[in-house]
Amino acid sequence: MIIGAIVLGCLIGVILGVNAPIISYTYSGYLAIAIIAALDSIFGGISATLKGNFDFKVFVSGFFGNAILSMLLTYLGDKLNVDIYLAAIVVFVNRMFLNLTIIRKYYIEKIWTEKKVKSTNKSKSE
Amino acid sequence: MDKKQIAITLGVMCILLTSGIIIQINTTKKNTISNNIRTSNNDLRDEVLQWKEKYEKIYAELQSSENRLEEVRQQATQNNNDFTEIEQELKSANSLLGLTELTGEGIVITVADNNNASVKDKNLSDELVHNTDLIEIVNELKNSGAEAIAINGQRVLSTTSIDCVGAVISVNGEKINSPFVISAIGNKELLNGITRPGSYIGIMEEDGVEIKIEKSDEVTIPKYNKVLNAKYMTIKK
Repeated sequence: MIIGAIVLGCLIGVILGVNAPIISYTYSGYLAIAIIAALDSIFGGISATLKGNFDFKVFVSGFFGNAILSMLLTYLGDKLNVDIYLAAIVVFVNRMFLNLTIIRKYYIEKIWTEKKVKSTNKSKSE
Repeated sequence: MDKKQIAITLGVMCILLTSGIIIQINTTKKNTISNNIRTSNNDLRDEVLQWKEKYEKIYAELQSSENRLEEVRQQATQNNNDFTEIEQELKSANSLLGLTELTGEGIVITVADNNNASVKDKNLSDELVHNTDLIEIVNELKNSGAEAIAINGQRVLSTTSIDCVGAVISVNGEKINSPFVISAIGNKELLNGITRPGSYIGIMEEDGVEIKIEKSDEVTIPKYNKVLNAKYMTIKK
């Protein structure tokens, strides 16, 4: 069900995005960093769901908070002539990989245990 | 928190995320297009060069065809007196028009920008050769009875324009630059009168333009290397 919701959301998002007006190139850097932040939040949300400690408030505040904070950092970096957004990207991508690891481990263990259960059931019946 | 709520939240977030990604892709795509204008400019320049090459090739072909025509004409007129006269007339008319290569006694004037000209000079403009200088010289040569004039290999005809096009000068639509070699056929002593005291060339030399004048018994003047077209004029009866 969750996977279905994600796929449906992606499809609707693509349709909306195609029909949406394009933004000025000056602000595209901010949108890019917000996209990375949102991507990180989505992965975080999925892994939290799998672990069973998904919190709506934490998730939504993280989604918008991270995006806004990273955009502010980008703006600050622009003013200071330092590419701060690189640091934000490193952190977000790092977290994305960590969350991906959690998701991967969860599914590997799930499949593994299922197999084990099956085999033990088989041996019992025999 | 039930699963339904989680699914809805994640779905909404995915909508936001993917629409953002698509907008970003469209924005960057549009921007690459505007960057492409510069690339397409380069392409156009290449195309111009290609056309120029093509033009030169075809012009060479035209040249050889003209030579062939000349041969055929000569063969045809060899045995007939009337035709020979017409042929002679045609030739002299063509040479007056500027459609044949000519040689004869005359003068070769070389005018060049001052080598030591620098931006600091107060009268820098005077030290360089301008289109007006060339027009003045050509005028004086014509006044002294020059029969054929060429500047850097560009034949000066009645239709020739001598224009300033930035750092170079355009003659017959071809860009030429310093040094300017002006060759003229005519009485070389008369033509040499261009150097008389107080002449335009003398003033130019005083201003710092480098000038070299050579009298010669054999000045070669190339023919007009384009095609003369008459589109609007007709002969009045």
